[in-house]
Amino acid sequence: MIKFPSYAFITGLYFSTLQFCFLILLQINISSAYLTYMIITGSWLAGSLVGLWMRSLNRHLGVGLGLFCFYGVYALVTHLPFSGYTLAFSALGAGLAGLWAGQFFIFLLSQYKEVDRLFFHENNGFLLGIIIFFVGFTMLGREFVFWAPMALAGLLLLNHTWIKEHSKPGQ
Amino acid sequence: MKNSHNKSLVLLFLVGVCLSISQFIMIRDFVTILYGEEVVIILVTAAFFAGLSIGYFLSLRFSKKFFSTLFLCTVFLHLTFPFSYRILAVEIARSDLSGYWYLLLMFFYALIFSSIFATFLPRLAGQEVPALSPVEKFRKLYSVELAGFAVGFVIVGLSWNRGVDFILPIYWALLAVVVHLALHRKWATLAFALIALIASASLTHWDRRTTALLYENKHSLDDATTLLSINSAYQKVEVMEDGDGERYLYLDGLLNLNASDLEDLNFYIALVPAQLTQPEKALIIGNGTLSSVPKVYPHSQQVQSVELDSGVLLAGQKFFTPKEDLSALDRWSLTVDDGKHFLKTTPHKYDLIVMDIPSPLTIQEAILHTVEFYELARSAMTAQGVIAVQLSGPLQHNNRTPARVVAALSKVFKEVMVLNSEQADRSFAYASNQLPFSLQEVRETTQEHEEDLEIVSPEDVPFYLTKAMPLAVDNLDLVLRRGWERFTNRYFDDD
Repeated sequence: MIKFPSYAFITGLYFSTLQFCFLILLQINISSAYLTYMIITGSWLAGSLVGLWMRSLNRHLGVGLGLFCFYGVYALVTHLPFSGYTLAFSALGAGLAGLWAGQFFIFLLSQYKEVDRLFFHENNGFLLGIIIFFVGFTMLGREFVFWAPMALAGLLLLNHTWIKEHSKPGQ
Repeated sequence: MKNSHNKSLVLLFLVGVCLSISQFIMIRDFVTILYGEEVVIILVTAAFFAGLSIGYFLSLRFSKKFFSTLFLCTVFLHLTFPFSYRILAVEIARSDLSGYWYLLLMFFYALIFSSIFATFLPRLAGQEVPALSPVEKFRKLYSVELAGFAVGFVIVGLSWNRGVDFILPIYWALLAVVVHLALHRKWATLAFALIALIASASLTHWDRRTTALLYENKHSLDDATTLLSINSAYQKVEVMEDGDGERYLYLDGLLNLNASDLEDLNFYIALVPAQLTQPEKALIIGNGTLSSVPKVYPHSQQVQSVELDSGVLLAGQKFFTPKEDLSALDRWSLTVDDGKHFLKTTPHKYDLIVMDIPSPLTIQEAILHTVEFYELARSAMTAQGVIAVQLSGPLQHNNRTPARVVAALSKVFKEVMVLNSEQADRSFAYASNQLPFSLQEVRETTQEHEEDLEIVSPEDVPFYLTKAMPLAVDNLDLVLRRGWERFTNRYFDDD
């Protein structure tokens, strides 16, 4: 049972880092207006809602899609910050990245059945992510925004591999 | 059973709405109480999320009876918002208690604000619904909670530029329904609704009174009166008046300006550079009070103001620069936009840019003092264009805010002149690739206003910067370091 808290915790950390990285990307490159915040949060929320009802989104695809969308938006806002489509694509990107934020709970719940613990660990990761993002961005700036989502996705993959290794029968 | 499941769905939807609103109220109010540096914003947000974690952790550890009693006690405490925690903060300030008491207050209220809502989902997900698998049931429950959170988000949006007397009655009304659905005790619902109704009637008065008490005791403002207290989309905007009739503008509890400072600030940041450059096109970024406009206007053919926060504009026009003063200025226009966005999209080139923005204590404010921002400003300036910046303190030979801002300016512009004004208690910088005025001309223009003004020539500015690291988007450590320093000095420095 020790495996599930770590996975939920790192996922929460990944979610908050990814969400804040999306937000700061748009704030640096396009605008700090409230609309930016509304677009990212609203799209992420909508993505999570859709993700809850999806039948086929495995964890690798979910995390991978989030990363793909993030780096897609990164490239877009860096090179075409004022195209009429940039905000719309960013909203779509944040929404698609949010799919796993919904599906993740279904995925873990179907295995562990403990809603309270699941949310507790995920929320703790999210909380730590808020602090790490603040410290990371103020100290490292765009390097943090570029590398942190990738590093955390890698950590999730490692954690998953470790769980699989330690879940083999007879171990 | 199906009926009970439907009730659970409605309940969780409302819990989602309330959670969204309570997050907004708590973060805005506690940030204002503790003063809004980014460090404080993160701390208060973290406290709110810690409250959620505690709620999740405890949700299934209590019996139904104990949970009901605890919920009832907690939810009635919500009717004391925002007065109870403000009064407690006032008492902590009055008693000169250690800063840990503020932290204790914040974490205690985080339990009331967020923990209680976090307990619902795990408890309701644990109830038997024969027709649904646990996963299907969770899917429905969590969906409605998320949908409720989104609706709460919209309600929060409707409350922009209004006081808490708009959003709290809505919040209490929703909570009354939550109380009814969660407890099924008519007397509790009735009592809650009745108290909410009475509290709503005097909300405006108590909001203003407790705000004034906070400013009297935490900010040492004598005989404070609250003239305005609203939540804009970005921050809490408050206009206070002291016993001498002096007006102060506070943003998230941080003093932005007072009416006397405003005179000196506008003189150096707006009037002097406008008088010396006689710009064809002048751009004023920030300056929500719009008080710089009448200073720049007589010397410019066209003046453009850009301010992000319509709440600050509202405060400015109501209490600092009346609309009548601006209505005759037909060569002036105002755009509500982010300064960065405006500069990136404007087709115009400006002869003068006045940067009247708060000190770099949050990430967003700090970005407007960076090398990258000044490069952007330079791209929207004419060859001899000048940018005027207030430095939030006196320029010294160190690595603190004024030196770091001047270092950023020096990286982008060939010439930077600094005015150290004792009267304004801060320095101002004029930067350009080719300053269209000399030190002597600045001296002549300012002589009457401040005889002993110290002016640092562009040739001498580098001597102040040997220890200063230019502020840049990739180097905003100042926000963390300065914010932390201010926070710890304010609450944990015994000297």
